[in-house]
Amino acid sequence: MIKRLFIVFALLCVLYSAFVLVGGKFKPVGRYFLNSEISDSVSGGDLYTLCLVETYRDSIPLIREERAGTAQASTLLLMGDSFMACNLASDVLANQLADSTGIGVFEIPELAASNFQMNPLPYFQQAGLPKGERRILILETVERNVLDFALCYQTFSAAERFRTLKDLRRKIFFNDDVDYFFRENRFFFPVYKGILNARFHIWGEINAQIGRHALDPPMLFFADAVNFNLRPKSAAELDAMAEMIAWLSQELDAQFNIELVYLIMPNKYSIYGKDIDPDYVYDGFIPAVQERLAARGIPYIDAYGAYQAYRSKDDGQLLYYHSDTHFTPFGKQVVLNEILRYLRP
Amino acid sequence: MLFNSIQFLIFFPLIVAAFFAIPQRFRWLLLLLGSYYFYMCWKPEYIILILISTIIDYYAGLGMDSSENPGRRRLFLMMSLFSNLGLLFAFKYFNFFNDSARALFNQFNIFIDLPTFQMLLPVGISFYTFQTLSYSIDVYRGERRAERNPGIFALYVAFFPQLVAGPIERSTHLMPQFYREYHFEYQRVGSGIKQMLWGFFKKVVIADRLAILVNTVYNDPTQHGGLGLLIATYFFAFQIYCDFSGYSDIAIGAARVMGFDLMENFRRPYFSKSISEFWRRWHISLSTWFRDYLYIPLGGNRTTKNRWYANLFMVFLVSGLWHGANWTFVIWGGLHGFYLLFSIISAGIRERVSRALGLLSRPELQRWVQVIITFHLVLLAWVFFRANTVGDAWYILTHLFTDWRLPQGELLWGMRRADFLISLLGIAFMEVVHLGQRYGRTPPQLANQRPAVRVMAYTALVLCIVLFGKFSASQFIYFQF
Repeated sequence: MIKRLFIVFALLCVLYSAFVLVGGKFKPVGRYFLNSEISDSVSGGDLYTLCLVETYRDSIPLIREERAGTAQASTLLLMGDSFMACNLASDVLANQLADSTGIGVFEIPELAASNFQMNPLPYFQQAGLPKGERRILILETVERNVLDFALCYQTFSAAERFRTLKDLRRKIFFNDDVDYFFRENRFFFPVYKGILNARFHIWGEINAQIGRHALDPPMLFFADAVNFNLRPKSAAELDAMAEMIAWLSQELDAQFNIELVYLIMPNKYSIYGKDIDPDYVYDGFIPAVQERLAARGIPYIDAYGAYQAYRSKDDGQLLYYHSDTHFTPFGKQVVLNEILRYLRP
Repeated sequence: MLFNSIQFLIFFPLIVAAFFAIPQRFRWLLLLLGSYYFYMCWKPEYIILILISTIIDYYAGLGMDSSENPGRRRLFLMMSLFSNLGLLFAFKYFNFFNDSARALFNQFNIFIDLPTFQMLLPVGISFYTFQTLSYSIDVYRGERRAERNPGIFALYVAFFPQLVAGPIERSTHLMPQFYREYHFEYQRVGSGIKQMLWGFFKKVVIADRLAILVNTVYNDPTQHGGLGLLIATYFFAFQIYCDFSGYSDIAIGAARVMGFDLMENFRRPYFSKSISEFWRRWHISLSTWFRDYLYIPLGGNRTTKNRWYANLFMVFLVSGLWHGANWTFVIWGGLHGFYLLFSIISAGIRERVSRALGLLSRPELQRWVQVIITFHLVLLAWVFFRANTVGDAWYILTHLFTDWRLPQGELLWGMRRADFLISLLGIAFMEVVHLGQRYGRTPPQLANQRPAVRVMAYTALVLCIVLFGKFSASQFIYFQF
């Protein structure tokens, strides 16, 4: 009896392994078997997606609107990581800016921005942007990434040799897609989620990518952001970073007649860290960077200052979602107002 | 590819299924391609090093086998030794010797700019180079004929269960097994999977959890009081045991599922009554390698007493260096060499002390005293093994008994209290199993139980792994060696 059960179980394991391999490596096949929580219209929150603890699940509608236009035909250019592309319960910043200002706005697609490590210079060089009329580029980077990205502005090279070979190598030997499909396919996902919830409720464990969490109110913080906030940063590091941004600003101006406006989006932990950790004191990273930018004549959008100002006088609405690293529509509106204030002084 | 990764959970059943599904004559090819894939998932280009080692040793073996001329045979052996040790030196020791030489010159106010070699240490290089070296030396000594089939030889070098962290297999043991035909046998496959489960338990439930506290303390020892340093040191002893023996269990179990028998690598080493016994129970495949290919060729104990002592000490120094290119490992090896010499020299005195304390008439008590003393000697040496620098190790040793305060806040030296408790329970459970094994009880007793009890026991083990395991796919410690 046990022997028979064992053989059936072994066969199931083999079949399941083959299924995961095919589903993970061949996305058109795999997508039909992804769990039902993955949707194009609703998000549970990116941090919830990491931990899958039901207590923290949000239900945020995703707004899908076409973004059109080209860099050549636009006066205002946007480049950024996920905050620029954030469409949680509100339209993306590019569309809102276009509606508010009536000028042509072009947002560099998130994937391209990510491939160029938030470095607009090689992107424009590769896109062959002519040096035409004066344009403004708002370059957004989330606080936890700003040092890494900025320090590579001079060294990043977009010239990828042997691209096909690298892609092939990645396809064959790097198996993140298989890992993902193993967890997220509709057959195993309920078990996986059940295990994570059991671990959370039995002994309080949550995914290591969640740096801090609280139950009342429910709030999740991304570990990378928490670690960044807690890591000491030297003045030399900040000076080097400001120098890099200044260099980028000069190059954009000289090569493309573009004015660089820097936007650092605060980590959620910078704004709400003290709410769950009373001993936490923000190290003032963003103000320190902005001070250095000002000293070098580089304009910036002060999202951190605007958020702090709001929280100190009202704080009735959340600026970030409980279960997501990104801003709420209200948080986005605050940033939008700051950008408009810069564009229409 | 790590054993404790989802990739391996997919890879292994598919390889096993394919292995039993195809005819015997193609199985070596499947295992060879699978092994290369297993390795290339880490860093594809480094497969070249394995191929270089394989090709050189294959032809060196054939060259030695086909010649009666001692000089010519020695030439081929040298070719194998230089190529393997050269790879090892270039990738593992070049910068270490460079830095040491630079520091030495600086002492004499000589400042020279020696080049550094910025390459990632290839995973498992110490293991597969030692494995192929043993083959070349065996052929040179005439203890085996050279392998004619290049595919079988390549598989011997790269066999995936033991490729990156051993056990370091001898060609005389492993290679003939590749020619045998294995069928799917329920008992053997089940036994292999049970051993893999036990290895996973040790790795993901105990070792990776202990690593949280150990890393927090050892990466910044000056920030922690004596209690933290002491607990981290005890935890490290169990972390490294669970990590490495866990890997060996998974490797041995995985090979057994397919029918292959790999050598035992650990035999409850913390129950050793002496340092020499510890080395007969810890990393057995490496200890026997050093015995057969270094200690005995140096003359072993069949020489003058002073030479014998020198041989022993030398073997432990080299063993320390094998573990890592850092003075901490050399000191760790040296300490073990010193322990062993001291135990030989002081044998008479220790016996007199035991008699005076009345331990000789109570053998069980004497045994436990010896076990505890041996464990703490090993523990002391682990401080050097784990510390990032010799300075850190010295700081830890000199501050173990100062400032015994519990840390404030929700974390105990970087570890949640629940994790701390689970760690202690995990270690206790493992040691109970070890005690059972020591007295010959646990596995046979479980095997004799009714099927339902056995199923429940193994289901409980799986549940333990699933509910309490750490699944961040952290590397095994011995990968870095």
